[in-house]
Amino acid sequence: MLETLSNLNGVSGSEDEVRSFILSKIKADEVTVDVMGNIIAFRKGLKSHKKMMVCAHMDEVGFIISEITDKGFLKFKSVGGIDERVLISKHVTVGPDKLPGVIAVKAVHLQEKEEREKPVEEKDLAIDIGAESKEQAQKLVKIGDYAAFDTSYSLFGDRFMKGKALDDRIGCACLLKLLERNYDFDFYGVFSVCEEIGGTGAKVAAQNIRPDLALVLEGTTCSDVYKTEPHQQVTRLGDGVCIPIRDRSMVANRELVDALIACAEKNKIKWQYKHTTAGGTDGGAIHASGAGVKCAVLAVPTRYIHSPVGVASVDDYEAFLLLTEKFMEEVGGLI
Amino acid sequence: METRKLLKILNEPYGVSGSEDSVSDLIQELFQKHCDKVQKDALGNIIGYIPSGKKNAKKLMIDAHIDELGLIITGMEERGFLLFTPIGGTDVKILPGCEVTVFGKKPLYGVIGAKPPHLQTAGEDKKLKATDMAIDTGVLNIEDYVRVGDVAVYNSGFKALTGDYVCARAFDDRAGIAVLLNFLEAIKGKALAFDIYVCAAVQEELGLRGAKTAGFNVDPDYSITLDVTFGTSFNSTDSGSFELGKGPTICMSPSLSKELTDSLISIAKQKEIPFQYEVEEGGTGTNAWAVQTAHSGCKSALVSVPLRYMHSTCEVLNIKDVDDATKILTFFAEGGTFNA
Repeated sequence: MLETLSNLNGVSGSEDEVRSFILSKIKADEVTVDVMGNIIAFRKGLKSHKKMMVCAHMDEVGFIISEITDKGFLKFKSVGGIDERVLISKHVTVGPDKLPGVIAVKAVHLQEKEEREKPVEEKDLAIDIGAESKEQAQKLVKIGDYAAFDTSYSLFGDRFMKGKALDDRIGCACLLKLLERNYDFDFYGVFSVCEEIGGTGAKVAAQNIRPDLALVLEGTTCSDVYKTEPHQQVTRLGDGVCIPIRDRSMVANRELVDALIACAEKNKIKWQYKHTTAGGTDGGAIHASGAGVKCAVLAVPTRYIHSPVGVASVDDYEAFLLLTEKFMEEVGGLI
Repeated sequence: METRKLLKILNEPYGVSGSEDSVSDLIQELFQKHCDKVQKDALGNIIGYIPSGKKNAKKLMIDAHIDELGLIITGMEERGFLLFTPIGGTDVKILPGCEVTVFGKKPLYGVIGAKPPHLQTAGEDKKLKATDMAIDTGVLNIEDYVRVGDVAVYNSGFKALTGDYVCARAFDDRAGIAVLLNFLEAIKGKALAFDIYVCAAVQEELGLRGAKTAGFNVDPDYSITLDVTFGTSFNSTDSGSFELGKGPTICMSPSLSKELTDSLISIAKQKEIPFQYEVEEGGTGTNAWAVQTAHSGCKSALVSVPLRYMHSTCEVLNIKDVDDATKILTFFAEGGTFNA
């Protein structure tokens, strides 16, 4: 499931492929797609009609084609926060037909000394799909088409997974699993759009649902890589599911955070704090929606997030699945 | 073999400069189908021989290189991070986010990671250095699988783009090897003006080393080097770059034989095969430089396939240029207008 989800393309604003797949797999009492493109899956409460919303976003970072040059190259803009230093010489697929393309790089031999050392800015890049001319390119690609990294999901090393869009197909896979049953309370599973550009999807979904409680399922940054000091390591791969206290977009509800921690401890599930306040999630839009919503985040640490290849730990992912499952059994008391 | 298929097959085996065995095994096998004699020399060059049957025939050596860029492991850190340094002229800016295979005791997947930009301290510039990156293998007891000195290579294999445009990590110089192999197929059973020696050379990216010993060994009268040259793209349009799909380049240079070069040009013109003029003012940076001074010296020429994004993980060429280079070479070997 996660493999298929990761390999699908769904750059913010063009989540169609991911949405169709999720709609084909989803099990719920009622499924709707709202005006923004969010999927809202509803499971009726067995005992109460208090509302719990669990949100995972379908979209991923990528590119939007902004111009077709005279020679048939595609200029683009990044959608979502991508470190432009990772772009050159990477493989992408363009448009709904997934045309293969590459992000062009000037041959190192032709670069002046200062060019060799300076990161290339996005404005100086283009995608090459092998078009002979502007006319041919225009037949294949339209301005406003999206491009995504061309990366295949697989397992590697000692229980690690790699792929694109692990942020947040990991959350989508988990939410699909949670939707397999009914709970004591009304349960709204939201697969949101446009998280990477500011959470516009989740905002509207929350305003429509007016939940009493919300949980956001995410992939989060992990910088336990070579040459980072221990204090800079936001999370560490393999140290368990991440329970953030606060990030740039939200202060998580303390009661919920404590309940999540207690649930993890009780069930002996490995968990970790997020050690910085960088990044944001759909929680930012959800917690401040309506008259305010108690909201927390559960996340899987992902190295090289927002790059062509994300890396996550299978153990952390399993801890994430287990903690969400256990928490859903207990959370009724908090609503 | 169909050129597209051949280019795909040739980009499957890895051959980082100095560790070319898996690609040279393939080439040896393919040469054996067409050559009377095939040998592997001390450095690892594969040299094939096709006699013309003519008495006192001159020797024509045609070479392309099989090695490619890669990385060599220089150390390891806990939790499966491997330190490395690039082999060959590498743009380190392309490395973060690259997927690689590390050839340890078994092939291991790895992705190259760098410190994220938001963790850089103030004043730390965004300049990327290979020494700030590591290959993330996810193998916790990595020292059981990898030794310092093992090599790694980019994972990107062959990929078809639009029409005749194709992409792979090692068209430099598997494109030249493809010309060489299609040439061998094309001359089969034909009357040849020369005794032909074909050479798949090693260690070109380290300084033309394979071609030097192969040239000495063969001691040809004439040599033609097949390599790649810079293709124009949206960001490299200067006069030293050549359009894709407009034919291979034939190089004019003080270091190359005017007689041999003119002959290639006149064949291309006569047979209406597209080609482009390339001019280098000194050495050409290719195996032609090494072969022409090997042993007793020889007259050299250089034919190149225009290639975009040279030395990256996504080199792009146009198949027509590979085919046109093969045609020029074939007509030449059959005699053409050249008075050997």
